[in-house]
Amino acid sequence: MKISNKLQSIRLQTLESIATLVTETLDSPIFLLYSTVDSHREMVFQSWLEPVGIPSKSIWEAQNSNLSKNIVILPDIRTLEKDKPHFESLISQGIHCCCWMDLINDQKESLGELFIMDFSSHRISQTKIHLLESIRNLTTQILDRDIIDRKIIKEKEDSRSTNQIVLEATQLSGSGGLCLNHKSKTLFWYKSNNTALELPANFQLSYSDFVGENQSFDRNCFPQLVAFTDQLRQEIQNLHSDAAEGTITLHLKTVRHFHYSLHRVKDIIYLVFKDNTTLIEVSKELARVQSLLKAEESQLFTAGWTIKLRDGEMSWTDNVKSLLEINQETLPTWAIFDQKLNLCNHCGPTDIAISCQSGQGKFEKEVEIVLESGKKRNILIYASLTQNQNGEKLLVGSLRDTTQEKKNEEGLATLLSQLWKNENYTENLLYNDIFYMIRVSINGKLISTNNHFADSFIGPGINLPEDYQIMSDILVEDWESCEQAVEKAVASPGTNIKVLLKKYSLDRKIVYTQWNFKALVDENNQPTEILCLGIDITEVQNQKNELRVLIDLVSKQNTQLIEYNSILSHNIRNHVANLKGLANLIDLAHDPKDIVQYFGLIKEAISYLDQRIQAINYLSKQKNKIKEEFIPLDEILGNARAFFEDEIVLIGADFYIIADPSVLRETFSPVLERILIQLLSNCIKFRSPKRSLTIQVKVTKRRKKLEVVVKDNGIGMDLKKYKVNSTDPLEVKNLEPNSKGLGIFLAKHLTETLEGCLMFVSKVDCGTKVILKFDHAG
Amino acid sequence: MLDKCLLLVDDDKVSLLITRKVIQTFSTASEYEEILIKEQPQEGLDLVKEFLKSDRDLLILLDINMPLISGWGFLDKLRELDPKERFPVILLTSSVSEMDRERAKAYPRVLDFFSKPMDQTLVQRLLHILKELK
Repeated sequence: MKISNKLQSIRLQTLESIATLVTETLDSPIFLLYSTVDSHREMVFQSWLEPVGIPSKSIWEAQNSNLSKNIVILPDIRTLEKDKPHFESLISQGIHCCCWMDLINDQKESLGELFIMDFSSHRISQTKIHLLESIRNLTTQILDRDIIDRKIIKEKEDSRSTNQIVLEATQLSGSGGLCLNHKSKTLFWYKSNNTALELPANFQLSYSDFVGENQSFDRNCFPQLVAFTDQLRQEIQNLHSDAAEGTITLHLKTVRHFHYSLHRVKDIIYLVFKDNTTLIEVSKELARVQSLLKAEESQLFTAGWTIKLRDGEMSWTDNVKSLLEINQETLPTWAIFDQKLNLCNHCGPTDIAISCQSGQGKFEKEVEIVLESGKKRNILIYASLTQNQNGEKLLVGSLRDTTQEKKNEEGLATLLSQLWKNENYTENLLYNDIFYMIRVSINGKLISTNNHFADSFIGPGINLPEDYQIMSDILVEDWESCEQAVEKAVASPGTNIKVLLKKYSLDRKIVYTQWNFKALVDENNQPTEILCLGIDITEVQNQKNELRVLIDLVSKQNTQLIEYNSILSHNIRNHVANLKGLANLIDLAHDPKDIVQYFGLIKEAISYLDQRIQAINYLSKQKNKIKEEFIPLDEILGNARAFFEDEIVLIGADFYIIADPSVLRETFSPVLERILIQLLSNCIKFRSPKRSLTIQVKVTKRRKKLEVVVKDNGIGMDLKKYKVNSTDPLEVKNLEPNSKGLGIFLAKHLTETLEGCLMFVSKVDCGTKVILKFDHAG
Repeated sequence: MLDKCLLLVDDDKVSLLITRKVIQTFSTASEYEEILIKEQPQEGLDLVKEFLKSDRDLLILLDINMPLISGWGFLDKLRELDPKERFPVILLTSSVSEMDRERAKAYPRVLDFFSKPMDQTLVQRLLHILKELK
C-alpha cells in the first residue's frame, strides 16, 4: 500500500500528541512525517521549535551504532537527495541531524517515514532509543488506524447518506460531531455529543448556535457550551479553506481536552471532535518519567573513574564509593573495583583498552550485582581510551546505576499498553457492536444510550425520542424480572444485578439479552441513576433451547423405552413364570392325568411364548425402519393385515379397509405399521364371544393431515366405570402401562413419536374405535 | 375368629392353577379357611364387598398385570371399599420390575411382593404372614 496524498489531511490531533511526546522526552527535536508517493517524498506533518544549537557531525556518527535496525541516525541529512533543498533550509536554521524511522503496518506495508530532527542532544542514550522505539510504534499504530478509518469512510461514502457518513465519522474519530448546512440553515446534532459534553440526553443545538447572532440555549445553565460554541463559531466564520482543526478545553466534571476538525464540502460543514484528555495525560506522565531519567543521568558525570595503563594507578569519585558501597577510607584499586563489580577474567584494564582500540573507541558493559547491604543493582560500566597531558594512556570511565531506569522502562511499557488498553476499553464500551449501554434515571427515564443500543432498538441515526418508554421493547412477561432487578440494584448501590430480558428488535424479532444493572450514587451515597450493560445472547439462548428440546426428546424416548421394556418383560415373563410353575407341579404330581394336563398347559404356554418372541422380533426389525424412506400406505395396511392373517382366517373375522385409492398411494412412516399391529392385536384379543369379529380400518387425508380409524365390534369397555379418562373421554391419559390393554398403550406412544395423537371411544358390548391423527402426513 | 380365606385375583388361568395347587400341597387345612379364586378383578372387588358385610377375613393374593383393572387399580378401589385396611394384600406377579416394587410401598396394606410362580418357599412366607396376622 503506497501512502497517498490523502495523508495530507491526516488526523493531526494524534500526530500532534506524538509530537508532544517526542518534544518532551527527547529534549527538543523537530518532528516530521513524510509520505512516499512513487518514490517521491512529501512532508505531511511537522512540529516546529526554534533551534538553539548545532551538535557536531562526529558526535552523531559516534552514536550510529547505538540505534536499532528500525531507527537510523543520519550523519548528514543532506544525504537524503530528494529533499536536499528542504533539509539544507533546515540546516541553515540551525537544525542538524535526525533519526529516521520507517513506519510499517502489520502487513509490512509502508505507511511513511518519520524524521525526528534533534538539534540539541549531544548523545542518544540507550534509554532514548527505547523511547524512540515506543514513539515509532505509537506513530505506526496511529497512522495505520487513521488510514484504515479513512478507507472505511471512503468505501461507505458512495452508498451512505451524508448524515450516515457523519455518524460513522464521529464514531470512528471518538466523541461526537455535527453537520451544518448553510443552504438549508439546518444543523444535524449527533446524539453522542450529549454524552461527551455532559448534556441532557435529548439536548439539541440549532444552526443559529453556530452561525448568526442568536443562540438557543441558556448560557448560564450550560457553561460548557459557551466555550464550545464560541470557539467553533469563530472557526466556522474564519473557515476559508476546506479544512481546519484545533483543540478546545472544556470544564466539565473534570477538565477535558477535545480535538476537533472541520471539513467543508460546498455548503455543508462537517465537524468531528474527540476527547484527547487521556493521551495528553499520558504524555504528561511520560514527561515525568523523562524527568526521572534526567535525574538519573545527572549521576553519570559524577560517578567517574580513571586508571593509568602503565602503572595501574586508579582514582574514582565519591559517587563510585556510594554506588558500590565502598568505605570512605578505602583507597581506589582495580582489585576492589573488580571485586565489587564482579568483572570477568577478561575484563582487566588492558583488555578494556584493547576493546576500545579495536571496537568503536569505547567499552560498555552492563552488570547486575548484589551489594553488601543485599541490594541488587544494575550498573552500566562505560570506558574510553585517552591520553593525559604527559602522553600516558589511561582509561576514563563512568559507572551508571540503571536499576531505576530499567524499572522505568518496564513502567513505560506498562503505561503504553494501558494507554491503548484504556482507549480500547472505553471505545469498546461506547462504540462497539457487542455491548449495549444505557443510563436510566431512578424514576425510570432513559438518560442516554450507546450507539449499539440505539442502532439495535431505536433505529440507526434516529434521535432518542423524548417520550421513549424504556419498557416498550421488553416482552411483557419479563417486565416483572426487570423491575425486580432495578429494585435490587437501588437497594444495593454498586452491586451488579444480573437479569435476562427478552426484547423486540427493530424488525420485531425476539432478542435475548443478558444485563448487569448497577445503581450509581451521588456524594451522599444516594442512588442517582442506573447504569445498565447488556449483551445479546440470542444465539446462546437458541442453542440452549435446542439443547433443552433435545434433552426433553431423549428423556421422553427414555421413558418410552422403560415402559416399552416393562411391557415386553411382562409379556414374556408371565409365560416363563407359568412354565416354571407347571414344571414344579409335574414334580409334585402323582396322578398321571394331572401330569398330562400340565404338559398340555406347558405346550400352550410355549406356544404363547413363541408368539410373543416372534412379535418382539418383528417389532425390532420394524424399529430400524423409522430412519428409512416412507412407504405407501397400502403397503403399510397390507403388512399389518398380513401379520394377523392366520388368526383372522382362524376366527373367521371380517377385515375392511376403507380409503380412497389415491390416499393409499401416499407414503407414510413405517412406524404406522407397528401402531396398527398393536391395535389389531387388541381387536382380536378383546373380541366378543357373542358375535364374529369385524375390523374396519378407515384412512382419510385432508389438508395434509392424515387420519386413521380402527374400529371393532369387540367387548368394549366402560370408560366411566374404570375412570380411564374423566376429563376428556377421547384422549388416552390414564391407561395403566401394565394393564392388558398394552396394545393401545404402545400405540399411543408410537403415535406420539410421529407427532400425532391417539384418541379412542369404547362402549361395553358394542366395540371400540381408535382414532389416529397426524399433522404432518407423508 | 375364623381363619382367613385366601382370595386369588388373576386373569391367567394357568397361573391360578399353579398357585392353588402349590399352596394346597405345602400347607394344611388348619392354616386358612379356604381358597377363593376370581379371574376378573371386578368380581374380586364384589367379593370383598360381601366379606366386609360379614365377620370373615380375607388375605388377597393379587396379580398386577390384568385387563381393564390392573392390580394398582384394584388396590385403589379397595382403599375406597376398605378404608380401615381390614383385608391385607400380597402382590403375586410375573413382574420383576423394581419400579413395581417401589410403587407397592405406597400401599400400606401390601404386605409382600411375590414373584411368580408360587413355589414352596413362597408358600412358607405366606403361611408365616397368615400366622402373624392371627
